[in-house]
Amino acid sequence: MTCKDFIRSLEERHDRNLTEPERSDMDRHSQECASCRNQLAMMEKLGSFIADSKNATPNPFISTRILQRLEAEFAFPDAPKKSPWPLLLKPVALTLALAAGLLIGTLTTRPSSETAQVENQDAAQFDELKKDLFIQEFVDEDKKISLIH
Amino acid sequence: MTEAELIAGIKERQRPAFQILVDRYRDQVIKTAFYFLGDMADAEDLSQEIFIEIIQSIHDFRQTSTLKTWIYRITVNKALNMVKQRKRRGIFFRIGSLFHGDNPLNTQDFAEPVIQTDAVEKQETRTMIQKAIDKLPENQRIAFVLSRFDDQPYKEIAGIMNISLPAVESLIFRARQNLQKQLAKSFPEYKSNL
Ligand SMILES: [Zn+2]
Repeated sequence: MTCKDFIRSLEERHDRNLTEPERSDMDRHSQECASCRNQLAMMEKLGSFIADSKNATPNPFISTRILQRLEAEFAFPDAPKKSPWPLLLKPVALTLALAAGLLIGTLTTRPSSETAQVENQDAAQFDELKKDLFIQEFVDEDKKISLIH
Repeated sequence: MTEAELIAGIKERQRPAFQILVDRYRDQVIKTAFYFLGDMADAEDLSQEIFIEIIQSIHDFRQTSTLKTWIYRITVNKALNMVKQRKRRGIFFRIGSLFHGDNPLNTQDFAEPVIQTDAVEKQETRTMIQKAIDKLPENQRIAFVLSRFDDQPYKEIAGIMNISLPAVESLIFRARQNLQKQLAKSFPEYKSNL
């Protein structure tokens, strides 16, 4: 086998299965010829580069990304509408809506003549509650102190 | 869904048809783009543009070839355009991650310095080989990549490139010769008497 034959076989082995005599000729030649041995090593480097490339894997969520892009580009009429509120703002918006609802409810359910009276009662009850809490704090403090001593 | 039904669905811009299109051709599109670009993140980004192009130009698809062949054509064109854009921007070639989230040069992950060297060496080899492939004349590169990386039969390559079967054989033969010469320059330790 000449060097030229070796290189031809090297090229052809991707297109067809080499015969047994061809393979043993190549083996024998590569043992004798450093230059062809190097060619073989280089082609093996290329072969492992191709094998690595074939094993490459895309992002498992790529389909979702592509479809989202297509949705944005072509705006399907049957696509589900997206909420304008980002996910994190949803609880805040909900709390604000609830507070507004309570405020409106409080202002609209009581007749205006009773409002001032009720407000005074509320203030008095709140003062009582504060007193209770204040005393309780002292009681708790005393308990702690007695426990320490 | 048959190919004809899928094409009709895409023409009518039906969402289920888009979903099937992406499911059926996602791997083909991303892998082929990756073989030309050498970077998975770039291939994934480009795949979105490719699907947009497919949908936008579906009315130009005359069905003289299969949908698969036509999608290959769009993918190859888009990938080669991206390579050209990179060259214009001065990025002659680029080797990025093989796998999603993988960085071969992130040596912090390796405890043994010997393995670090191996990883760097492997990356250098990959860069040199990709560079050699990028240097092939465009038609030779297309035929070679579709044949050796994408495992497409010569007949399919002839359809994608719109050339004859002997022309494909000739392109691949010349690509191999040029690549061997190019690699011999890149790896002087393997220099032969060719
Ligand atoms: Zn030889």
